[in-house]
Amino acid sequence: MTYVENIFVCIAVPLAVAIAFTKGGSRRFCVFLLTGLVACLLSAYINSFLVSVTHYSTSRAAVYFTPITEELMKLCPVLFYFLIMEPDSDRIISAAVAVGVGFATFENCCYLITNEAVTFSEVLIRGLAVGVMHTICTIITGLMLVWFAKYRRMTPVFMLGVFAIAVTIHAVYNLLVYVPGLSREIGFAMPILILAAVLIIEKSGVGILNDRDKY
Amino acid sequence: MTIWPLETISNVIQMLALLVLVVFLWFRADKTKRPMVVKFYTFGLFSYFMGDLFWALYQLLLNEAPDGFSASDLVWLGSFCIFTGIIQMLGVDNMKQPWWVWAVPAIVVANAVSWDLLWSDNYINNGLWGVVLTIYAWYIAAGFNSAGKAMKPYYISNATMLLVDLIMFQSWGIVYTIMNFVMTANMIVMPLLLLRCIERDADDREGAEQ
Repeated sequence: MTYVENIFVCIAVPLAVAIAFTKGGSRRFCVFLLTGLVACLLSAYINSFLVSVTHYSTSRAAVYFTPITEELMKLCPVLFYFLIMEPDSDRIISAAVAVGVGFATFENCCYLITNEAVTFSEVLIRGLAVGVMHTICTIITGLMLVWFAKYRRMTPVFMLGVFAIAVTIHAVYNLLVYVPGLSREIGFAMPILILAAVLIIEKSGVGILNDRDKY
Repeated sequence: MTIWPLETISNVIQMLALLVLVVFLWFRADKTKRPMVVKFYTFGLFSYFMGDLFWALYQLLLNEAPDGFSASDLVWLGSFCIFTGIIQMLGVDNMKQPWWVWAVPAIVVANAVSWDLLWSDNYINNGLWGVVLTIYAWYIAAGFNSAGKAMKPYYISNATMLLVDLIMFQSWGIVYTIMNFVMTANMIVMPLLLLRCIERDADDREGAEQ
């Protein structure tokens, strides 16, 4: 049996070395990538604890509280960076992307190692669905933080809204994938469709990034 | 041939109405006098839409309503917090509020305690709803008291939304579904009132300055 901590060490150590030998944006990206890995490990601990306390089945937990713990763990480092370091909008978004990618990478590695018999198509679906879903949820969080940056007094209120939206996207994905058939196929396509929608909205100039310097 | 239950139909209609409103308000916001208020309001409506989406999908896929605290509750609570934040953005005077401003949240507290004592044993979920709606109620009352004549209809529509939500907590079956339709109608009226009230309020202020 492979412990998740062993996988964590294998991925985290090279990243820690990279942090020591890089500077500027590359170092920041590595730090947040590593933070994403830590967030994934911590949320695995919290989810296991909650499953044992509530006696929920794994699938029921995936719809009810897993999205809350996972999104909370991803939000915390980005929110900390936003509130304490007061970075510009590009840095917030790249931090959010790195946390999401780190989280998704660690979760996918654990999935691959615990499910040895998966086919290439399953791996591809897993990468394009869960991998993109974790990343897109944190990108949405980052975009919202950029949007609210000028209204710091309202941050607590609007952060709850941002967090709730990220949790709901995650929970809707888990719910769709939980039921076999057409629902599952829609679920697998959902992250890519949301990613495409966010890209189209932002590139067409009607999105949140367009607003940051406007008002 | 079977049709969806009326409750599911009401949820889907509400969802579609909210989606249309979100798109309309997002593009309309820049033409208003307070674009960020309208965009934040759009964000609140989008949150509510996400809650409806999860709830409707859960009912359609699993043939039951979510039990206990679900993603829908979280995102609906988030949307009420955003609506509260918007009232704060519109301006609530810090002056001493009259007694009736405190009486409104007191009614919500009494209502929330009665959900727990009479209808449900889900104390955490009901407690969270009670706290958020109580704060929302205070802001509606304080905002109504502080606002100029032009903004008052917007606060009345907020109060209607709060009232309908409180009734929905105490109802089930056909009454719940009817209230859900009323909620949808109010959600269509509320953003339109916000747009109109913002314009009139800005005109009033300009007139007063001149």
